[in-house]
Amino acid sequence: MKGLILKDLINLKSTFKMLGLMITLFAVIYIPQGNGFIFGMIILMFAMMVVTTISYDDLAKWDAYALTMPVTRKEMVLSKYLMMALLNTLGAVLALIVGIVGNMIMRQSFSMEILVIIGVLYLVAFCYGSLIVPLIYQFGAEKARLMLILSALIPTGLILLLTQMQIPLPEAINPLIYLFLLLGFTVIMVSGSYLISLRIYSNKEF
Amino acid sequence: MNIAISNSSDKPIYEQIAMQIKKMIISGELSPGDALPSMRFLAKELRISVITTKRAYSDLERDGFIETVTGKGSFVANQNLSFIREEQLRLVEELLQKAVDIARSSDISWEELSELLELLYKGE
Amino acid sequence: MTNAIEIKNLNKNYKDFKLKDVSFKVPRGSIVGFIGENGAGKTTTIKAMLNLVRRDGGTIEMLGMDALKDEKKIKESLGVVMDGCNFHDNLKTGDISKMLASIYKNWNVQLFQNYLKKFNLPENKIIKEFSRGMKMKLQIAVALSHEPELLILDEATSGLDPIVREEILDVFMEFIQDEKHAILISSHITSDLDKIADYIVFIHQGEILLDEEKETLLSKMGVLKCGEEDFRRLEKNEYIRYRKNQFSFEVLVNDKVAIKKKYPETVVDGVTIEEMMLFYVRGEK
Repeated sequence: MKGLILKDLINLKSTFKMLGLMITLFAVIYIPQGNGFIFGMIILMFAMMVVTTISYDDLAKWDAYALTMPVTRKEMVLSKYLMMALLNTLGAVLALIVGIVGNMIMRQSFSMEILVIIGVLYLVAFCYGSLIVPLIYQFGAEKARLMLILSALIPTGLILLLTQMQIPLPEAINPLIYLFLLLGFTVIMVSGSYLISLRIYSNKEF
Repeated sequence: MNIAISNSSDKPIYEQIAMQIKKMIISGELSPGDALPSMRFLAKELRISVITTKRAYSDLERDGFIETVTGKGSFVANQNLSFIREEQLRLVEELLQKAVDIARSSDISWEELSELLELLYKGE
Repeated sequence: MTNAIEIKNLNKNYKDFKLKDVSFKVPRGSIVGFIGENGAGKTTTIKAMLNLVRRDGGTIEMLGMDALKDEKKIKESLGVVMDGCNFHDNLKTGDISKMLASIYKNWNVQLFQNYLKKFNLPENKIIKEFSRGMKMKLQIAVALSHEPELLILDEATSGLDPIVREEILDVFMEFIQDEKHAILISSHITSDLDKIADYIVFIHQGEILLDEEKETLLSKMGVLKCGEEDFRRLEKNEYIRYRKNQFSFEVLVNDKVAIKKKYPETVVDGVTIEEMMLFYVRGEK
């Protein structure tokens, strides 16, 4: 299974490069504005990359071939979810770095707000992935591309909402509870999604 | 060792191979105890099926020309002269039969035929 | 020794097509040529063997193990080449080797390198830049480099020029030098099978028509060419199929030596696998 993840990383090399450029560009534009939008953008872009890996696979008709090797269908699905986790984490770390660097450049003190925002976005990214992956397995990458664009509106909308909100949380309740609730929700989403994907993939004919 | 097979011959390939190896053994080109190429190797080189070479070798073994030892390979069997002679006689009979058939069907008399045979055998 | 592949009564139902009671064996040490028209069921059968599609009935054993229960174990010793190249365009051979080393227990890096050298496959180009022939050779190199016992090839030589095809056939013959090894090759290029196949399995409309030693097939079957009168004189059991044109009847006979003896003035030719297929599919009974 390591090999499967390795393959995805190699395939994403050019995507990473392009992304790096875009992020640098947007960072230069958005950091001076003090807008949290950049974090959302970074994390969203990384979150969508798991879809890219699946469409690369489809293009090469990789799955049918890989299944002639000692790779179980479970491993194929698991590798995609691990990939998703890896990419989301990379995105979050990158967003954090941009946040810290941005703070340094703007000579602002580091605020916890950034951590919370990124944390929330990180979990939202997992929720998004949990939705999209089973859809791709069921409907294929072509239709999924459409769904991708349409469904990207949801997390984008969410992210915009979050960053505009300034987080006026009720003082009485510990804001961490919200985070824990979201964490719990995400865990359920991801596990449910994994089980559904597994079921779909196990019945697929190539 | 040279083996040439014809794809357009009437004879099945295994027969062609067996005959050519027989010839080599009879002519002395292959001596008793000589190792023959493995069936698989022969098939690979000639680009034919292993079943074909197997059959050729088993025919040769049946006729006493070679011996196959599992794990070691196939070797030219020790011959005694009378055996080779028997084989030659068989070939001669086969060919003479052909000549006789043709002679009969084209009304060539026994006298004409035996004259011809004497001429050929004793030389001009 | 167990057979390399043993299929019994394989059934698979699709909307407009079925595999019906498909049964055949691939003995160890042999090359089995799997022939049939497009859509006859060759690829479906192979996919069923590999669990790429589910079967509706029958048993499949590969290398002495059940194809479902011991799937992973079987696939360690199985090399598969399908039509086309299934590696992503921007990989290099080094990437592929790293990838497969973590998938196959017996991935042999040195062996892979040797094949790459033998096939003249460059290390520094990405797959996108490979020609079709090179891609095919790469697939074959990959299939052989984890020391498999069984090779399954589905149209692995189509679209290749005769020179590359011969190179590849030589590699297969080399592979089969080991008596434990076996090859199942599904191909339209029947001239390749005329040469190297040990057995021919002919599938037509989802059913097995024929399963014979190739040598027997080609040495016993023949094509009788004659006029209508002579054709009418033939007994039903003397021929398999016939075709007619404006000038003659062409008859696929199952014992050309006997027919030649019986009708010595007629023309009786040998037959190739391709001609035999055409008779079965386009001829009349």
